[in-house]
Amino acid sequence: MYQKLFDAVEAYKDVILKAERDLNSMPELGFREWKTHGYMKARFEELGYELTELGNIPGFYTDVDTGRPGPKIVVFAELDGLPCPGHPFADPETNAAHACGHHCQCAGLIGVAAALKAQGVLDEMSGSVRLFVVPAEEGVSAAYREELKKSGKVRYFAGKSEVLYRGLLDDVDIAMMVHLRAKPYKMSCPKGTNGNVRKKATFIGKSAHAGGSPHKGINALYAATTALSAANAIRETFQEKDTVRMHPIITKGGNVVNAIPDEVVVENMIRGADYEVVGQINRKINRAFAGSAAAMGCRVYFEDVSGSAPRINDKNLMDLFHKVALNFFKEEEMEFDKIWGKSSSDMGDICNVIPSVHPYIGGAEGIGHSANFLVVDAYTACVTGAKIITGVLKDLLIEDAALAKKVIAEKKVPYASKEEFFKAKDSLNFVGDGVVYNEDGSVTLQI
Amino acid sequence: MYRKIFAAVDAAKETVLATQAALHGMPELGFREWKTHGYLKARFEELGYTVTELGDIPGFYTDVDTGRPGPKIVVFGELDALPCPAHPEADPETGAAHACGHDCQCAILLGVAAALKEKAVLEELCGSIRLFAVPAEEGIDAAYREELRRKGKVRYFAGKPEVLYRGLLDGVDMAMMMHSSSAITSKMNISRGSVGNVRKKATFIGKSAHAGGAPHKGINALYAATNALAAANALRETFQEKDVIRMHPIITKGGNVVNAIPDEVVIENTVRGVNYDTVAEISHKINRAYAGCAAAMGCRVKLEDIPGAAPRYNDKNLRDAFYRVGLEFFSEDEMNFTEGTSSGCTDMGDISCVMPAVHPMIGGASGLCHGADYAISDPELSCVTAAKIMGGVLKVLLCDDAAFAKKVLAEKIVPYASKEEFFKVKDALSFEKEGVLYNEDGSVTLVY
Repeated sequence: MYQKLFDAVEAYKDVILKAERDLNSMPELGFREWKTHGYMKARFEELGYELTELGNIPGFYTDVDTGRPGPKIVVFAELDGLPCPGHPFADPETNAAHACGHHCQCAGLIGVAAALKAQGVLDEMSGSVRLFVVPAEEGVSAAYREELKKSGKVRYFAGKSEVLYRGLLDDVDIAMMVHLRAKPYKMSCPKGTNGNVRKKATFIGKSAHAGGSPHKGINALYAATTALSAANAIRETFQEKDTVRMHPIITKGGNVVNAIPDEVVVENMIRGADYEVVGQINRKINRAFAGSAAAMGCRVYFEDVSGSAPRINDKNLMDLFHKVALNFFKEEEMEFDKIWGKSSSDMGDICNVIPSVHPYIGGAEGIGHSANFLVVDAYTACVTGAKIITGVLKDLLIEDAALAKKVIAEKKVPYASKEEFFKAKDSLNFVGDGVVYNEDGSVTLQI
Repeated sequence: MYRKIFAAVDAAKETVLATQAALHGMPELGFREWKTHGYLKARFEELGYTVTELGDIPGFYTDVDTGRPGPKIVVFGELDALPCPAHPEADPETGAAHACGHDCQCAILLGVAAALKEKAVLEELCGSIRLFAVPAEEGIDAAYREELRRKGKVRYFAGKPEVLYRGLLDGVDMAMMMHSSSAITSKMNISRGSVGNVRKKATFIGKSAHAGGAPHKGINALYAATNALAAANALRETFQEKDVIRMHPIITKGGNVVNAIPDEVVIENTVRGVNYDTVAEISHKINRAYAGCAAAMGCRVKLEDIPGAAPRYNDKNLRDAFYRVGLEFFSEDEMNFTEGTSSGCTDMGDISCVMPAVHPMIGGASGLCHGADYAISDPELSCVTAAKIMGGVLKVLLCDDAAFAKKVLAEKIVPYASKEEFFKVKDALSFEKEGVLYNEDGSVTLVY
């Protein structure tokens, strides 16, 4: 049933594997993947595609229309690397490296694009397919993205949220992508993964000579350490079902040891299985920070930015990937619908409004986001990955797209519209002073 | 110069020593020293004194008038013991023991009273002397005293502020007393003064829940309290040496059972410092730390502060008088008159805030003050010699038309011009409020 598509991918394997090698050597950071964008654009144009570019940020898409009415399915490939100094293929200037294997997604998407151009493959399908090369999945470079946001170039800090917001998925019914992963599984797909909020808290005290006149200072570091102690105590209220993660770091902890620290910055991230729970815990943590700041007579400035939404993999789409993957892998080489992942992806934002799936394919070794993460089986990662995607597309869109229509009919997405979703996402954003000293001597905590 | 008064004290030596021994065997807690009161009253009456009793609390005073105009000097003897159950002479029921040597003060007072009955002694003096047996110096038993206060029996938690407040020192110009000391390096010592304090209680209120089954439904008051202590300790960085700050909290209630999230945790604390203003400032910061950390965990906190003893200032001229008379018994090496500040507190501090006062320490004790091994090892020194020194100082102050006492008054440096002004500042340290208010708009207000 899938042979024509599989053969078409196989026939293009040299280009696919070359793309994997080429892109691996030109890792770029999110919203700056212009070389990667150019490379991909050239491959798509070689195949005869006309592209719609995002314009002020890297990324493009193209639609493959079967000519028959039906659902529209988007297949994503992510363009970006991430900072990983020490990685053998890291860019010496930016430290960017493909330590998360996104370049394999791009190589695979070339395979899908090639297959969909093959003679007669679209004949049995209806509806359409959007091939979408998207920037900036990794949640890094906050300062750079803040700058982009300030200059009006983006509204969100991740590529998929941005293209969803821009309306570039408005007529899309189903979304999918395949992500590289290291052993043990050839293919796997968790029930879903955590969403998160990214937090920055700047504690502001008063500097003074730490030896000569500590009584004239207000110690922002002690406010911060007390805040972390309070935040850690709140872990007691985290529930297993919410798979909460909180992992703060201190990015500024004082200037010199002999001055009372007057500015201390705690960056933090809160992850959880549910946006509402993330919001609730976020508020508790802000209360802990504001209370502890006030405890030391400090102020605290909050800057919370909503990160990726929790990702929920659509059950029907998982089943389809499982079924098609059986053409390549044994049952025991795969794990579907078993665990809840704790890391986050901006694919989560898409899942909240469109039935989506984000399975992992093998072919890598090492630890994701680490210097030892390397592609060791590019054929599986890219060529087999592309074949599986084409197989799933075919399953969804043949017979008048019966299965795609079933996915749509049975979809369980938390938000009825992207507007509703963005309202919830935006409500996690919080910027402002947490502690206000009133004239009557009391203090107001704004949390 | 002191021959007559020393001889008069010596004549009463047996009574003085018997009084110390008898009182040592009947230790009582503050505001409950009725047996001690009765014993001492009987000895004063035997000497021919008519005493004015405080009435609803133990204690009395009597005035010795020389018949010649002049300043009035009060000499205090403290009646109370403190709980020290491990002390060998502790009361088996109350645990009270004279582990601070106040029994000696009563004996001294009696010795002075006996000496002042000698006509030859009084002839050389002018002005008058008030001999005052006062209750409740030790800062203990907060619950009992709170009860007394609620019933309207006392306004303050210690004897001396209470008698000061009652106006029983209104015509008094200066105050003195002598306290036993177990310091082995000196026979008599006086510091510049000692710290004052505020006694603090903070009740953190959370929400109980099964700690295994549903910790997410609880609000942990213990974590609020431990964070509050962490914040309070961090504030030590702002304490200055010159202020001799002490802060020493304890947790008196820390949770009911390990498998329930603690919903009520109580921290008791004392903040001490060299002046009331500094104590107030630090206490205010500590309350802010408590309220902030309570809010940090979503808890409430009830803040209850009660002013303790005021800082004590030993009058320079009175110190000199004690030094002069001390030389009649001790070599210079045996006396230690320092400019340091003692970090212990006494309610004599309250007195010293409104009139020149002095509170020297006399040897004769051994062991650790307030400890189970505290004993009066040389009652001759700590009672008889002490009474002689006290008599000698009265002579120095009130002979020659009270020239020295008048110098003391002319040169006095006291922080407050009147007792009203003093009590206003002392009372300002009282604080009882909810520290954390949760507002309807989701914000939180800290009141401290």
